[in-house]
Amino acid sequence: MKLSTERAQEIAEKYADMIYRIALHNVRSVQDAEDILQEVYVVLLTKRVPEDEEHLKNWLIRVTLNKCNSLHRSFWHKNTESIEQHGELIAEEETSVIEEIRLLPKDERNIIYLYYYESFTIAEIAKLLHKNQNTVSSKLQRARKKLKKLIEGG
Amino acid sequence: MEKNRYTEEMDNITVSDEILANVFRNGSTIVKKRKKGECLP
Repeated sequence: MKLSTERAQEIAEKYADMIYRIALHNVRSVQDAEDILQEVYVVLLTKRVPEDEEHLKNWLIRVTLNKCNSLHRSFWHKNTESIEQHGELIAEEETSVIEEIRLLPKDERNIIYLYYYESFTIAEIAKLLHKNQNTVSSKLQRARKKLKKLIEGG
Repeated sequence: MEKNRYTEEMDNITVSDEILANVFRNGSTIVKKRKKGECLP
């Protein structure tokens, strides 16, 4: 079912923070995350959207991840550098857990986010990311170990 | 991995009303990609 502008806005407002956070885990700048949010909103307006809330949330997560993947593959993205990559231009700040998570491979970042922040179970994450439960479980364990090292080492 | 510290940090990351307003304003049309560092209109 295609949505009215009002319903699309209502959904976008409700899930904006979630979409933005997922995007921030997957792109390298705030501007890119804002663009992803906007692109997901366009999809909401133009595509058929699941009606029930649980499927809608999962669908939004998938759309957001797909948009992030498309951005990574784009010529524009491959050939530009974010100002945030130039650490010397930015004041030193205490490294946060989020910054450490951004150092993890994409799959591990997303699994950590979905598990710890969105409180999805391993089975739910496996379904959402089209992966085997054992794979998700081992990636989660690997990510935890890496984070422990990163945090203790930092 | 401290779950609470992570979720606390994530809680602090929220979309501002201004960004959301821009998303809604521009969402129904194809929006030209912004360059890095360029502000929203």
